[in-house]
Amino acid sequence: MDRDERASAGGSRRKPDRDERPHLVQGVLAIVPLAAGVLPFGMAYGAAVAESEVSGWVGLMASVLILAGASQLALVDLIQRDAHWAIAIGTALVINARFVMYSGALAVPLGRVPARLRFPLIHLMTDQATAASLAHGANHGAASFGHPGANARRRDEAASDATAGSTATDVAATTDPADPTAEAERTDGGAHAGSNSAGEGGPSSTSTELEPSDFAAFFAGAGLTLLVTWTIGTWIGIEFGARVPEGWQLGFAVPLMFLALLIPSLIQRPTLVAAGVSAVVTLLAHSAPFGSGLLIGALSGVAAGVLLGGRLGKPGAVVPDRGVGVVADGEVGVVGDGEVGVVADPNTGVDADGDVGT
Amino acid sequence: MSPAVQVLLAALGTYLLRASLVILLGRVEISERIEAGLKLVAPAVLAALVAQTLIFDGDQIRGIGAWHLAAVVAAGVGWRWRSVAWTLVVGMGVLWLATSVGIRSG
Repeated sequence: MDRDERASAGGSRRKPDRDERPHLVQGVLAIVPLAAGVLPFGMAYGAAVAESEVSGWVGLMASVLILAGASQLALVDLIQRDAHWAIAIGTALVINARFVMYSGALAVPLGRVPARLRFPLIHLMTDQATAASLAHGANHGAASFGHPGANARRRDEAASDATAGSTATDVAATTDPADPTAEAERTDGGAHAGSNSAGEGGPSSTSTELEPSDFAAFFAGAGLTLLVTWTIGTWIGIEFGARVPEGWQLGFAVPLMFLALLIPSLIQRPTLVAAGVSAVVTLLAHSAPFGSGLLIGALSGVAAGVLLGGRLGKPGAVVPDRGVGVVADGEVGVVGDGEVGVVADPNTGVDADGDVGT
Repeated sequence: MSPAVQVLLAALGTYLLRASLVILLGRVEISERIEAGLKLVAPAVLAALVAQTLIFDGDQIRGIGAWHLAAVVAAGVGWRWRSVAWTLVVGMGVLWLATSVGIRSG
């Protein structure tokens, strides 16, 4: 389908064009709103460092090199308590075990990025950058990131791909009709499907709109913005021992940030199933040892999404989430568990409800 | 062991966790089913994080309160307008409003 057909099929309800800004800039902009959650959490962590025997520069170095808030809080807390180093480091790594899952989720897109970029980018893998980047890829209709040789195909050619068609059709069938964004997507999808009789193409066929370099640019923009924000927050906390009044309830900002990233992805059945099952199983497994409830829950959700989502939806309907766009750092939940959650110092102002790190 | 060395070791370990499957899966052919599952990872982890934080406060069950009210309203806003920024603004706004009128934070 060519550009003119698409334009006319899309009609005036479509946004005139996709975001034409460089992917790097889009990545930055996806994370900026999340600064509202990342900064205060960074300040809380910085304040915890300031109150501990850990020196300021070591605490700051941790924000740059570990880049995972909950684990940093735990580490500082355990160092302060003179815990054995193996316990301290082990606890931090247990909290960060969910990165293995993100690593899997990013294996395909990052695997296509040249190694000299891939290995630095891996460090920028945070909850927010991961969720935002995967959503960005999905937004661009890339069911996968293309096989070698397919990468040169531009958006217009990709539109004729069967996978793009079925993907978009599924989106169309499940989105909220009232939503303007979804509207554009649906119209777009309908046009695609019409051009190729709603394909049988599997998720791994060669559709791609987002080239590996574009994904890398977005991921870099998102990841670096998060790193800088997190580090600035840490610095403020260390420097000023920032106390945020309890009444501000900033402990809520972190779960809210994850909620904001999650919701836009819930438009497809597999995603909905995965998220629902994950939430329920995580709660049931809350007392599992070493804070493993979260991993058990998330893995159950993924399995359920794959097994049930496809059955409830249509084959090939398993589509990456779209429309997500946020930041911070998986700190929240993992810490909540008493096993792991030695974390935060109760004095760190942000933590009004003892949530983020108690 | 000095705090600096512990931080460096934790950073190294965390990097290895982040790199693990990018490296391992980069060397094998990924089946459609696995790929479908990988795409569900982020929503599943985010949902787990949110659920855990909204329901539990450490080991205690968090009482129903302003947090939950704000989360529901924010989720509605996110669903309807698909804007991360508005979800955050409305979520915090509702929370402050609710606590200021005396609803306990939960």
